[in-house]
Amino acid sequence: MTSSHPSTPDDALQLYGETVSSRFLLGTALYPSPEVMQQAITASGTNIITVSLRRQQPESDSGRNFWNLIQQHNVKLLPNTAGCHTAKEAIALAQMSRELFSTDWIKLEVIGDDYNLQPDVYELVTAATELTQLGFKVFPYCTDDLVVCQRLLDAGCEVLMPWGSPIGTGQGLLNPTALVTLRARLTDVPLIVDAGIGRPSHATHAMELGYDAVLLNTAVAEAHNPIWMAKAFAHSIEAGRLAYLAGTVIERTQAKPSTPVLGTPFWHSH
Amino acid sequence: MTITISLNGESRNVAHGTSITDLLSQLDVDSSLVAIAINQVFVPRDQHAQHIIQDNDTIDALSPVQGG
Repeated sequence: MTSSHPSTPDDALQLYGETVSSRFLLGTALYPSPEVMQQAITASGTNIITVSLRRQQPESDSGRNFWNLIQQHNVKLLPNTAGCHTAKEAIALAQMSRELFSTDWIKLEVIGDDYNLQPDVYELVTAATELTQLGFKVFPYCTDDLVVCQRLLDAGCEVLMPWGSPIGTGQGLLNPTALVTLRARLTDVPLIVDAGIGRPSHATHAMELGYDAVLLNTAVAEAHNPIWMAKAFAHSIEAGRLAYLAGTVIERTQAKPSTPVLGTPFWHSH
Repeated sequence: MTITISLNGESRNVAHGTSITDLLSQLDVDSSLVAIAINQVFVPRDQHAQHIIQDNDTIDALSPVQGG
């Protein structure tokens, strides 16, 4: 690398007009303790964390403790609509989230099947259309179907979040071909792989495919050491991004020596 | 006279004419961290004082939690 090239590219990500430096979006659920959650957020270097709303429980202190914890981090909040099965439910929950979290960003989840938590893409498009009209900036959790993604863009979404595999499974990218197709066809849209990432190598894979960011939760929160795992994912995501920008070599089936052949000692014809 | 409502999935009796603001004060919660939907329709905070709860309303009172 010559001196005219920076050691790392100026590579900030734009999401709905906002610039973020980290391409790692992290969930806040499932950690063994609030303290570990906080340390994992710090270790991840994330600029965006996901949050949610649930029925108020008397023992939960109206969410005050959690609210106070997340206020200690200089991060943007991305509320989700987890658990919603219809557009009507998701729209109501999005509006409630906007009021409480004071953001028009919404991670739109509308689940169509409880076994694999697969998005109901029909309700998803309906909800995305209405929420966009209500002024929301929608981050739809979607499948890797190209036409569904195009319909979500038609609905006004400026970011898409296709799954790698079902939520919480840790299976990585089950259909990289579909993800490559999305990247090739939707060149100007920020694409975030959301769900199913289990290992840092899965995240690197997504980034090497040209994805703009990765959103995950379980893989960090349920690791033996969530803080180390948060850091591991941060490195893996940065590595994958740099690799994508650097340009990987083309695979070949036949071996090709990397050491110069000219002047090979002890050379003889086979 | 009372009416019967469902609050976060549990049946509850409240006085006729109770507003959302009245209900939240009875619950002794931090209303700044509670969002309300009635029959799956969001009710903004600035309408809580005027919005009178009706018999058989299904009310969701939600608060911030961890999420993925």
